[in-house]
Amino acid sequence: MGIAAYGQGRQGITVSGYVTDSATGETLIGAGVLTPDGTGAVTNNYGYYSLTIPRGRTELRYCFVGYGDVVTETTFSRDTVIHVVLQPSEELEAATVVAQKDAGIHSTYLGAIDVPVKQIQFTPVIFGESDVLKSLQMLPGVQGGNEGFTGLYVRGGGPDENLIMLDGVPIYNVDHLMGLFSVFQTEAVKKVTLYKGSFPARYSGRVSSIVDIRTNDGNMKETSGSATLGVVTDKFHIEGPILKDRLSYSFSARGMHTAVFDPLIRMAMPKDQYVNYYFYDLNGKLSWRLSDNDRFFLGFYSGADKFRLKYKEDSSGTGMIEDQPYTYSSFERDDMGIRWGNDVVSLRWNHIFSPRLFANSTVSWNRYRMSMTTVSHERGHNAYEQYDYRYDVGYHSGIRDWSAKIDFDFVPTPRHLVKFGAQYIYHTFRPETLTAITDETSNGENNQNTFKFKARDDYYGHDISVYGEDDFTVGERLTVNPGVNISLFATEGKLYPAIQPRLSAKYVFDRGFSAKAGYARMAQYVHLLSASQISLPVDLWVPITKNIRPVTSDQFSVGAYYSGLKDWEFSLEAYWKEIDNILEYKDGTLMFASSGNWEDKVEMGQARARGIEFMAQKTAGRLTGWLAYTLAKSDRRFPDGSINLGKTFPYKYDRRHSLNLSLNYALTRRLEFNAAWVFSTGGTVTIPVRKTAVLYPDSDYPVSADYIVNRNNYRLPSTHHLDLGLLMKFPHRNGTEGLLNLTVYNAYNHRNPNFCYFEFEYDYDKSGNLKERRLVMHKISILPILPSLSYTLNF
Amino acid sequence: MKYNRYICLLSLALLAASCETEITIDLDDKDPILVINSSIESDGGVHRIYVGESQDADYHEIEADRVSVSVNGASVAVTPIKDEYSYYSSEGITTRYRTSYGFEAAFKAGDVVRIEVDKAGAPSAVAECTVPKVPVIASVDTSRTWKAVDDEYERLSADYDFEISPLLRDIKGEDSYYRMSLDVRYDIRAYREDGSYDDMESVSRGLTYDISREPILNGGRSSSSEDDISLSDLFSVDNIFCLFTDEQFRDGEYKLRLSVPSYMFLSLPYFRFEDDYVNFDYKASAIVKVYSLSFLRYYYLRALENMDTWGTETSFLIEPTTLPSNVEGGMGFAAVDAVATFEIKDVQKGSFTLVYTDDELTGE
Repeated sequence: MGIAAYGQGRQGITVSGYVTDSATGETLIGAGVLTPDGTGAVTNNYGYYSLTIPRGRTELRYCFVGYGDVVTETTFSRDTVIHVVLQPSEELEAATVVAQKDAGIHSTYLGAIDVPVKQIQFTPVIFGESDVLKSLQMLPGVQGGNEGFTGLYVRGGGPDENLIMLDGVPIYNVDHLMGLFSVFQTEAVKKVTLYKGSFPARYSGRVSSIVDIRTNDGNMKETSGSATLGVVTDKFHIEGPILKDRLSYSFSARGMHTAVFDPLIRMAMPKDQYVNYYFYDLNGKLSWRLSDNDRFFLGFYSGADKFRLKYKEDSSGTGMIEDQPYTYSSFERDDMGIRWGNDVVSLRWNHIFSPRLFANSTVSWNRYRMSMTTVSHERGHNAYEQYDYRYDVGYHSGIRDWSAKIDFDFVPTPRHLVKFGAQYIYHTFRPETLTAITDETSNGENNQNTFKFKARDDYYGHDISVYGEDDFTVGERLTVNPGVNISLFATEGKLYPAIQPRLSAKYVFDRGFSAKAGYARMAQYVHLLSASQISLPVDLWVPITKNIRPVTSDQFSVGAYYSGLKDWEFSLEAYWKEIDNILEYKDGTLMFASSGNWEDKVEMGQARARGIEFMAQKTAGRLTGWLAYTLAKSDRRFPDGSINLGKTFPYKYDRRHSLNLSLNYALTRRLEFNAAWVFSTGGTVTIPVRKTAVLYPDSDYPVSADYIVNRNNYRLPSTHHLDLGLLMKFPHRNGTEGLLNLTVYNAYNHRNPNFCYFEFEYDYDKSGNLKERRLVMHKISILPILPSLSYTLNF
Repeated sequence: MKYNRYICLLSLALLAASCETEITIDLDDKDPILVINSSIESDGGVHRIYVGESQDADYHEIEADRVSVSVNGASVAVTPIKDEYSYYSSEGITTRYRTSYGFEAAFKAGDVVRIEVDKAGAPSAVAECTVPKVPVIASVDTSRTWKAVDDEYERLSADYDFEISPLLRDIKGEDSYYRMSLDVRYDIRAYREDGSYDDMESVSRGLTYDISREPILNGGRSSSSEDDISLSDLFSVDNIFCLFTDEQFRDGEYKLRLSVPSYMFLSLPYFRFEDDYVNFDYKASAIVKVYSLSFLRYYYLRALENMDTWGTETSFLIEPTTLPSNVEGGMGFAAVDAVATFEIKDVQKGSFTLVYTDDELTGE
């Protein structure tokens, strides 16, 4: 009521509504609405806009990249709802620039980038599998971990410092096949936004980046979809109306060929024997437009990696012992299975309280779980024994969240966009548990044992946060966005509050130049205990504890931008980031089975990252893409001394230079050429610098040992590769369209190191005398030149 | 194993797709440098210095041209000591000698010990360390806990754990690093058949004891239930040197809780018994030792604990251990640990008789 009275008392009126695609009815995120005097608004993550303008006759221009503009001229005497439908355009012109965007160089935020989904879909990558996370690795300030894998290392941060959200719900396990593929199906994705600098106040929970992935709501007009046959996976996507313009569905499925043809594999294998590995992803959504003011969305995601091995062997025969014949028989059966993956369900409600107040409420449930089971059975007899052995081993871990949140967009005046809201997450962490049951019978004697190795009981975390931010314009040139996120994490009887102020400011100069500055404090309450440099199922999420404090980061950034050249955008940003209470394994820690007493195995320290990022982006026309260069430095220090004796050392992924070029060129309407070239300075590893000797207390002689003087003291060779793609479109008479996508990963077959290990090697002459000793790095490259072909049928 | 064929297939597929190349890393270790190691206790006796050379990815012991030691600038006499040792090779048993350098000195807190080593062809190496303050063991409480023991033949018997609780008074005004150890001194009277006897004394160093009930030593690892063991405990680094810091009792006192199974006191040290001894009486006294360490020495011993668990060579599964060195111009570590001792007399005493079978006597 208060809001309504406020609105009625103003001079202006408010125009609001949804902007949608004419062909599908899909809401368009980031579409602009502009008045002739330059006042504007942008549709939010749900396609809704709200613009307050003076009463009277006004022209409104609606625009979105890849769509034709729609211009309306109306006399406005009171608050008005206008839902606008935009037509996809054949001409790839850039959309008219609109201020108050959530990302991009025209937004107030620094380090916020919208990645065009088209660019993601056709960027050539390994096996031709379009991949959201690998496309993000092409952006300035973002690096991959191991070459060819999906890990994200943003501005000196680790992979667990990225909050990756699918329709606003955090996803914990974002990889398949140890990180070669991400879990996100590009067919289901509508928008991908990366925040790495001055974070909007509505985001919290990680200290290095936010990746906000929004999925399609579903075609409200007609049934459409696609089917893709690739080298590794098969994909199917379908969406359409259940009730035209009221209720729609969207469903996407992806699976390895071994998943799709699993029944055939079972048929081909001998009876009681089976081996298969596959991963799959299922995305679905129901969208219901109940009224102009209420929309509901029920979405789910389920994805997993699965490995199963069943084996059976029977044997029998006769033998001789001390000239006495005997018979034997044996029966063996083994069944091993590993499964790890996410399941997410979310229910969202968009409600328009008034033309100026929009609300999105979400309740969600998500879980990540990993389980490994082995059942083994041996039975038989021989000359000595009649036996029956059964073994049952299980290993389980996981995390489960229940969450509820509400977000409001409020436009009190044309110069203000206020966002505020609250969130509550209830975490249940399930640490590693290993149970082993043995049941052994030998010659009638039975022996049963149960072993249970448990990291600890389930434990819980309550994560509460409220936020508010106001993106407002001062005069004609200055936009300021102050905000704050206040969070509270409760676990093990201890409360950790965190006040996270955010501030961004943008000043627009003449001739397309602008400058920004920003500060953001972030807090993080969960950690990923990672066993290695690649994503493995035994990696484990754990919360902060009464002894381990939250990670906090303070980041200052400044940027200069130029958009005065048609279809081009240039940005130059510099940042300084300090992270407190960052965790690292102590010297000598085994990186497996790390969850039990994990607090003893890690140390809290400080990280420092600074860098300069340049990006030149061609946003429209036949040639689109970007060139990104990053100069960065990142190091760590753990003052207590248990890591590197308290001395500062470079981060494992401290890469000084990164250069990424991503191009998409439309040769004709039916032929597109894609290329991506990636160069990066090598990361760092620890190697011994000499052989030395150590002396144990009370010992009578020293023993030879490797001498390591500093952690991460050796820089690996640089990595680079060129990936090419050719996309051919074949329109069919029945209205469908075929897409043939030919990609070549690592076109000039550069042997980039995917894994490295070191060892001292010794050469001997023919007489066996030691000739030479040396330290050798074994560089394993598993990703040579990889041509691939995929065919997609759009219907 | 039955999975072999599948594992082979998977391995072959991976091999077909992968390529391994070797790059020799220039370690810049073509020139030799000296390695000095010495682990000195502040309470006197003969202290040893071990000298070696590191070159071409190799370490070997050497005889130095000169080894000198000074305490607070005053020279101390150093004597080469040759120890015989044997090893088996294809050519049979080979006997060699190992040279170390001994000196005698007792130290007090703040003493500066300097060890200088020269060897032709290598730069001079100097190790310098300062003696830390001596910790204070205010008292030691002891008790015995009897328990049932199930032997390998499932026969029940009773045995006891010897509980030792030293009360440690922290060194005030500084971050302190400690190590604890337990020695046993045996006073043995060996009788001959004619009733004559000899008295002997021997010290067994570094007795194993149970730290599972002492969180400051076991890192808080639980030992409450055998069936509910933390998975990661199976892969943890054991605190074999019983290292700890004063983080939890800064400038105060702390009572450590240790337990020693009684059979540990029966593990008599090696004696060169004369053949004609037949009966023995022994008394075992426990000697509690607490060492005060320098910061670098503490982390040096931590590094040794890691090496003891995982081996002395780096592995990609283990976070690498940084090894401290306090040798200028070379490598290695020389330290004086300030030691406080507390003796608990006659924790166990008893008698035993040597009975040989004919086979044992003839060596068959």
